[in-house]
Amino acid sequence: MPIYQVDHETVYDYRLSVLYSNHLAHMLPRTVSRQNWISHSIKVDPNPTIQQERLDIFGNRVLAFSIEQEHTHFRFKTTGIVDVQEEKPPKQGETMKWEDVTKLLERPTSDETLDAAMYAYASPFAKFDESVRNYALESFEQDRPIFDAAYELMTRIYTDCKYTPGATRIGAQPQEILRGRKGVC
Amino acid sequence: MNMKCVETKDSFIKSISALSKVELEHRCRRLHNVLDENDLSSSMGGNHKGTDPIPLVITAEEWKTLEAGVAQRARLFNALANDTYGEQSLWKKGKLPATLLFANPYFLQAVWKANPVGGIFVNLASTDVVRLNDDSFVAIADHLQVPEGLGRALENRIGVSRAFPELFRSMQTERLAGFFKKLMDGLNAMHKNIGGEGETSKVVLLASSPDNPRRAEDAVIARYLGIPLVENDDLAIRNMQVYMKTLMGLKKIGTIFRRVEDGMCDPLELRIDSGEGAVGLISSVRAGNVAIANFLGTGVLETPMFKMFLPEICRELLGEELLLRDVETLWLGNATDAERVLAEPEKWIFKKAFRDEGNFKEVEPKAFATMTNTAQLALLQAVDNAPDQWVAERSMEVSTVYAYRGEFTPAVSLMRFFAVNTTKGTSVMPGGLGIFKFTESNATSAASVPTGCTVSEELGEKDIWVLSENPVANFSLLAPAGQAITPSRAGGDLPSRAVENLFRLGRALSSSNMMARIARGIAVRLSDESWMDMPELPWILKAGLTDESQSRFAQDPENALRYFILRKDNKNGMQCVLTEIRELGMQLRDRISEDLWLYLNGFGIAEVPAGTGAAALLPYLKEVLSDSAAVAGLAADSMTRGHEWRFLELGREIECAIRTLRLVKSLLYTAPTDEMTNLRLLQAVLEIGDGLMTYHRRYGGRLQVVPVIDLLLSDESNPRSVAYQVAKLRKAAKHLPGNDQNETTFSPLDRELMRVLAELRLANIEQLAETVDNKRENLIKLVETQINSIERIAEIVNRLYLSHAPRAGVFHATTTDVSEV
Repeated sequence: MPIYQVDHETVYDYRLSVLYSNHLAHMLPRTVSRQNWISHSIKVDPNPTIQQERLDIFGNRVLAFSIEQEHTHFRFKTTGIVDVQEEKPPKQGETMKWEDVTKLLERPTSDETLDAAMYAYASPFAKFDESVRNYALESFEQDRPIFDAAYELMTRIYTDCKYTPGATRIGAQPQEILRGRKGVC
Repeated sequence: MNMKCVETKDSFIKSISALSKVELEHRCRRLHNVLDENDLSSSMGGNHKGTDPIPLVITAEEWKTLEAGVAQRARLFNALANDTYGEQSLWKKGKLPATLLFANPYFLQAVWKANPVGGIFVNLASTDVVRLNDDSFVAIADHLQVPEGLGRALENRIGVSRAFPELFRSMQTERLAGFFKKLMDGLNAMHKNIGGEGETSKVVLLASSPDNPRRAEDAVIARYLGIPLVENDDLAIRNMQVYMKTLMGLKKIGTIFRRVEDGMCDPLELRIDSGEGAVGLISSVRAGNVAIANFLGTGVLETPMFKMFLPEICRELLGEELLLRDVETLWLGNATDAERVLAEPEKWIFKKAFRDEGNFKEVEPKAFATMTNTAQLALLQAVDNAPDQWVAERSMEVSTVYAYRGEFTPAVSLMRFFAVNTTKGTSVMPGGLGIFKFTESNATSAASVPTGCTVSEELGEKDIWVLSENPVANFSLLAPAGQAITPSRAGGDLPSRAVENLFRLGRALSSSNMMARIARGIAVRLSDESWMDMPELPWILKAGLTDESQSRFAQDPENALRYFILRKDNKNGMQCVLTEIRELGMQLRDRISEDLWLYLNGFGIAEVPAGTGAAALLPYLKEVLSDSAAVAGLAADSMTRGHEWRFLELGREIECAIRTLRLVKSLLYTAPTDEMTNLRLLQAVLEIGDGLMTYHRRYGGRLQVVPVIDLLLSDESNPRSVAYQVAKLRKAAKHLPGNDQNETTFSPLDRELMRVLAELRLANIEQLAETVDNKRENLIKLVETQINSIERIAEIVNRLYLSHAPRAGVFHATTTDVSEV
């Protein structure tokens, strides 16, 4: 039952002074079945005049805040402490065929299937791309159990693509990462 | 001569068939006069040429059916929005495919689980309806985020009812005013529900951009409802509250009646690339600090693919049967439906299942039967590639109506009806907007029914008259013509954007003027054969042209000059400033006189000089300078001496002072040892600084540096001098809100102005002219301080009155109204 402390710090230095700014940060740890959130602290400099926390559609905690004083330096630091539990993955060959899952997600019938269906479509920030689809399809052989296929795909991404800080920017599309075989997150 | 009779059961046409052709033409002219007169912007005038004098008449009996159907749809779409962004029960129960949500670019993730005031997403809805040959009605489209045509329906009503006042009354036509009152009451109630006090917070109409064809209609609606029309730049968000920037300070906004599309509302969370909207609006809405109508995300409801599911959605969400049926629509992502459609494609009209993101106009529907063979094949191929991207609509036989163009001519028409949802219930406007198209034959399909709202040449508009069984009460929101107006000289809540545009215009005018004078100074010299021997030329080139253009054309001053004057892609060039002047003119359309507007519209648009040689450029520069003089004169003659005029002047004076200082700095920094160069530089600085005439009158032909500096910097009687500009600035600033110079304490703006003026007045010119190693260091020090100070003055004006940046102590604007002088 390892406990992790996750620090994240972002610093901006502006050439011209910023009079006021609005921000949206997706940087708070969330609680899911295998991760328990213990504590976190947020430090923003300059001090925000107002902030608002909410959940986004994916269940992430979003912090919206505004800074209303003139500044040329901006710092955002979070420290989160999470307790990560081991979760046994499904056994090889024991999950549904991936084609059946596809059918299920076309017309969801429950909270769970609707929630899963969301991830079956392109998002406004990651658009559909043929080369990415073909890359993934290599693992999705006919009638293969979905977990086995997904596991293999993840392993391939892990081994094929190199974690390279600075290799991609925030707006990068999946196909760019695939083309260079490197990326950040 | 009576009109040729047409066979019709339409009571209106029967009545006017009795009129003579002369009389009817007279009535048409009256209609168009009323429309022209009411029209805010002449750019919109073209649209109204297409308003037909004959209204579409709906009997009381028919109206019962239509009203119930349209009202139900308004309720239905509101319930659908609540489910889509809330529980999503329709999807969890397997009633709808996941594609409708997750492949739909108009489903806004950022709106998920947001709660609109009173649970109302769709405050204003509209439905397009056609009448079929069997007299039944079918809905062909719904508009649920920014329904267009409400203002046009209003204008058409005013026009047509004044053209046929006796028929309007005798036929007992229902009035529209009550509907607008309900709309306004609904908007007012919204911010009261979120704790906004009626006194301090306002309802505003957030208008589409000035180049949007809908803009004129937005102005009509804002005027009729009596609410301020604002643009994105008028909004400021502080502390998650939304404010309207006015010259008098920030005014709190309670409800935004938006006329801009979903994606354009908040660049922080919606379309980042739009660059439009108020940054952080969604947070303010979620915090419950501002209400917005229609609520964000309602664009998703317009997805054509919802249509085929509506009967079931209606049963599920409202527990009712759908009253007004839709045109039969099938989704080709469904294999059996696709098979049915492709078996007889000629009977169908093909549409994209989702509208393209960023393309707000609906994708042109494709009527298979009317397409060429090649186009048909291409369409079938496109459908085959991505069937889930397409829906097919059954083509229909639409009944014909008559429109008047010299005689009664058959046309096909759709009727757009409007409904409001408020916490008190749903109401339908008893009337609407008819959009028609002349037909060549009687047999027609829905494909030829206009579905868009853009009025092109071949489309016309009609008023819709709903007849009442009972006498109609007389009620109008228009002020009665006899009502007295109290004279007032104050400008009311002048939006900061308007004065900012004038301020920028002032600066751009002064920039263009100085640029043209420097360019003329260069061109005149280059046209001389001996230009290579002119020692002052490099300095003037340096004063006018940027380093970039100079290094690009190091050995070729003529081309450098052309690059500076003519190239539109030169960001530091003259054309950029001229373009800015024309654009500002467009935006100031409703604040300046027609003559001034026309001049700004054509500012610097003169014939491009033909031929080579610098002399060829001179006539063009002369045009620019005369445009600039004409605009200054027209503005002085036609603008009321209020804040608008004041900000135009502030801009001109600030820029003129800065440009003159820079000119002095460039040409007089160095004191060349040889007398010839020295004299020629003094000559040039006077010539470009427009002081040559005065100088000669005062001092004769002898050029000396001390009187030249005095004339350009400190001489308050020279209208081109820096001191003159600053003195005028201070005079104008006296009238700005919160800057009363009679107070015992000085405002920061006034302090800065006084300091600059005192420095100029007290400057010891002899000392300034002193040189150390051929450099006039004292002069440059003064000039640089002055440039910084004046730029700081511009910044203070901007912060106090235009951008309303959060203040850090020193900046302070009062919100008390200051009457204008």
